[in-house]
Amino acid sequence: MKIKNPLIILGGIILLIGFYLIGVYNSLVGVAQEVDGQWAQVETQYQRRFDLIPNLLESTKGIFEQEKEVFGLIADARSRYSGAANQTEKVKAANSLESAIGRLLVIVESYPELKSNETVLGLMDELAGTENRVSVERKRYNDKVKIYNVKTKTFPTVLVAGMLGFADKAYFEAAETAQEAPVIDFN
Amino acid sequence: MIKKILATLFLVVPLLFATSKPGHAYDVPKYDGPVNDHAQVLSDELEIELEAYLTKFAQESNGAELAIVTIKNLDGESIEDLAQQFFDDWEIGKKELDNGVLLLISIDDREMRIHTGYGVEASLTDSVVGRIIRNDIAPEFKKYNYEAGVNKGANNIIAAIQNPEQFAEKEKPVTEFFIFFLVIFLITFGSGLMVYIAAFLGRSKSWWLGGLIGVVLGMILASITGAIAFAIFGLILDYILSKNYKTWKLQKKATSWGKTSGGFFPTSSSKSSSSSSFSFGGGSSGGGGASGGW
Repeated sequence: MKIKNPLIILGGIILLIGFYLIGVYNSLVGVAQEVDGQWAQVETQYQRRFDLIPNLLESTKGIFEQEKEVFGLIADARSRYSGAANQTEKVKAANSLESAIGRLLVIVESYPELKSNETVLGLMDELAGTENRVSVERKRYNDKVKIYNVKTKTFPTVLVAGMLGFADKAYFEAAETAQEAPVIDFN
Repeated sequence: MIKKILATLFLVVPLLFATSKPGHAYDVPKYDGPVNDHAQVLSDELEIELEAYLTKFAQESNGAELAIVTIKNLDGESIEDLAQQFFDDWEIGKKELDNGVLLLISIDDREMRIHTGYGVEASLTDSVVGRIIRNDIAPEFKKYNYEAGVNKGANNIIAAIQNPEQFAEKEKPVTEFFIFFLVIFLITFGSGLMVYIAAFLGRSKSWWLGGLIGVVLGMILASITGAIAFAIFGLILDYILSKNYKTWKLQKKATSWGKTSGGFFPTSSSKSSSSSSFSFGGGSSGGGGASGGW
């Protein structure tokens, strides 16, 4: 009689820990899915940005002959993005594209014949709108990553998150070049 | 025992680790209706008219929830961020449709933005709203015609949603002003004519012409004075009724003919029959739209 009791208690404890682990696992899966879903939103906007650029180049072709450098940067970022193997590379390519687009916007501002062209203006609107969409979706991604990371790093989840295979997720750092105004050399 | 410890930890630890939510630097005010004129650049008349129009448009099958906000300044925020904050806070648009649109105008900064919800991005593309800002709103704002600019902007946004292909211009009626002008014209013209006729009669030698002209003139004058009298009466009546309508609308009282004894007396209950409390539908935006200055 006396030996049986501790066994029951032990079994109960194991059972409780098992239930706890299942609960933690399920809730972490839910949060991780949200992060991944939000990342997909960011990528959708990246793709939109890449799709817009050829149109802009087409409509500004003649005028931009002397601005080859910017278009070289854009083309380079584009090929790096499509060839990116992982998220970090994608972010890098997207960031360098972002700074190139910033320069492009400033260049367009400096051409009066472009500023009065409805097609170009429309494309610039689309591009600026996409930039804003990217930053909105990215902010939401970071918010979701924050929730996830707080969850995985909080005691007692932190004790089991690694064991269950939930690693930290990286925040989206905006490119430093994108935050400062681009400098254009007009020589 | 262990369960208890675990449960306690589970409850307490998240509180210890709780971090503040991503804070909004700008204090987004509560909305009261689709038009929120914090910068005080729109007349009450236009505001009421637009609110009725926008509320109706939001209920239509191919409609959308359009919010118009004027603020004095951006308070250091960018117009894009602020528009997003307003949108997220107010949840403009129906939840399942995300058909919200926000027209945000910062008067002192001379900046504006049309911010679109996910659901209207197809018809209100960034280039379409950019064109509305550049071609319809900004030119009016340059002339300090805020009312005309907002009116045109709202009409064109609605036109673009309903009919992306063609933009039908809708102007405000001008009948009231026209009647007033006509009365002034008649008075001036009428008195000029009298002086001329008197001078003519004095010189002519016939005795009956005066009588004949008197009859004709009498008829004309009677109709003129009649017209003036009715015009004044009409203006006063319209003034009273419009004023009543305005105040009752602001107090959210009933304004229909039957409920107000023909528009002269308000209903005693302050509860409105139809639109007692306005609220947006829970829509969201991914940051689409365009900004512009003037």
